[in-house]
Amino acid sequence: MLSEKDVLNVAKLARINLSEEEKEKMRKDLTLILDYIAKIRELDLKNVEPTFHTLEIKNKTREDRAREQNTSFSKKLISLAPQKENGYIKIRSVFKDR
Amino acid sequence: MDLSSLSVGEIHKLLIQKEISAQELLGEYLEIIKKENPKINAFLEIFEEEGIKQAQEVDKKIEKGDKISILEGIPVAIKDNILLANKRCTAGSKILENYIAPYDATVVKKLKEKGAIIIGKTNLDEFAIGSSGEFSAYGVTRNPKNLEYVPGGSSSGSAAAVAADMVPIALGSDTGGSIRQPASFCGIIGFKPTYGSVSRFGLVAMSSSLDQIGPLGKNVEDIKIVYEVIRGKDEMDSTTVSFSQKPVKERLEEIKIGIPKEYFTKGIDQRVKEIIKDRIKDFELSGASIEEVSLPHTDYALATYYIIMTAEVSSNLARYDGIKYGKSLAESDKITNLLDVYFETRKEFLGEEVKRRIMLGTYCLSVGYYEAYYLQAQKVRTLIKKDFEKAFKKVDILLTPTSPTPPFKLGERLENPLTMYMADVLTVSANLAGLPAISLPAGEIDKLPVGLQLIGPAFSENFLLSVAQLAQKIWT
Repeated sequence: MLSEKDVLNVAKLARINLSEEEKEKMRKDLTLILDYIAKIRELDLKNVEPTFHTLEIKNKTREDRAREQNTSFSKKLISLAPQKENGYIKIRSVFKDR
Repeated sequence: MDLSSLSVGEIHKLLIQKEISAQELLGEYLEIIKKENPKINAFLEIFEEEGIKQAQEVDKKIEKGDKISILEGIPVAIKDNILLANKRCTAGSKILENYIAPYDATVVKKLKEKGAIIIGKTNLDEFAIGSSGEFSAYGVTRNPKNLEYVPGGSSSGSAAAVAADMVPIALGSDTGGSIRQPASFCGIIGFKPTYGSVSRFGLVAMSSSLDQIGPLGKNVEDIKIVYEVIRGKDEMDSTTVSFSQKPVKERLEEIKIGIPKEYFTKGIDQRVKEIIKDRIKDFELSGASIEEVSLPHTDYALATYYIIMTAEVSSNLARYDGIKYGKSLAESDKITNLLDVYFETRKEFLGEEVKRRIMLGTYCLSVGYYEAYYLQAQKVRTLIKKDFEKAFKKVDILLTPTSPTPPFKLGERLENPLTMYMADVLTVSANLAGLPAISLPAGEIDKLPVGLQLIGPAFSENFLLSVAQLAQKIWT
């Protein structure tokens, strides 16, 4: 059973604020789901290798060379940012705003 | 003209024989869209003007006697988590309400090169997270077979659009069944290719070790045409590989079909089992050999999937932070620093189910739980993959139901997330093992469709589709 403190800790890690109502619903739902998925813990898998990826490919490399990309494309990407200034993405102050 | 029974090949023939013009063809589909979409909510956006212009160009080419590709002038719908340059791509989420795609996804680029008309973007569960089409920020999609029922998800709009004859073919994405399950619920065909065979460049990432793009349609030939166009190695997606195809089979007598006994256990609706058993009998009577096989770790697949998928969702969706793109509360008065931008933006613009999965994934990846959940799940995945490899030493292909139940009613599973997750129980294994799988219409229960799933070995799509074609022949 998850406690409210557990839920708040996960919410903090996930960078999501929850309303009071959401907190309780989330605690209930996550407890229910965790109870179900815990069934895989009963398997003894000490000697089993994990499969992070189904393809048998290792790090694919390519030549380290700059590719041509016109500036209008990068401008387009920057333009999607909610806050920008002089062609840069702008963010709020990391500490308190002045 | 009744378009519902025509395949892409047949439409192509009508076009080059000038029995119908590309503009007339498009007009017919647009008429159906305008009539049906307000009820079904399959499309989020329609590109009528561009479509008509494109159809005019196709007609000019035909008039001049130029050769046209088989997809030229054919309307195609695209799930709204696949980027179409300079068009909105919402992924069914409020946070991307105003997001304009800066480039084409590789699959879109390939369809455009073949002259297909991208007629619209289809509704989906937010970020492809959901099994019923009810988790879109833009309203639920309804099942065209019965409007009181869900169309399945998350490629809800693509499946419903095809089923309602609004388009002959559509693209969806499948992370745990999101193409096959709605295809099953809507009575059409849905195909998830092998992991690595179709580029995901330009697909809004949900769970990167599982996501695949694939086609939905009404007959196997059409599925094959689209698959052949979109597949292939792409330098923009380093998980794509080039591969040689397994030879096709011309006769069912040459095919050994495996029936995994774990897919016919207590959780499966009795009526679904009976329909699937009837179809197995059809295969047997047509000469295929049938053999029972075992995939012993099937019972752990859903739990494994919900750990790996949510873990990957939690990291993929971390990008929606109100900084780089999407909606943001950065300029709101209640924000005092950067961290608040993340917390408040995500609170405000992400949906309930998305938050639930991010939270679950974050939990499974967090200190103290990583080994017990995430790493353990990746190990179970090894066992699930090995189960399949073993089975494919004995048989050529596996046959199962696609979904444990027929479509359920709208709202019926919203209260308890676990009952909703159960809808994926028979489809997730193919994603965990990276295998190609297709859902075909198998029958009906009270006029609601039931689908059958064929799963093949990795990179056997040619073979898998040839078996699907043979199956289609028996049933029509």
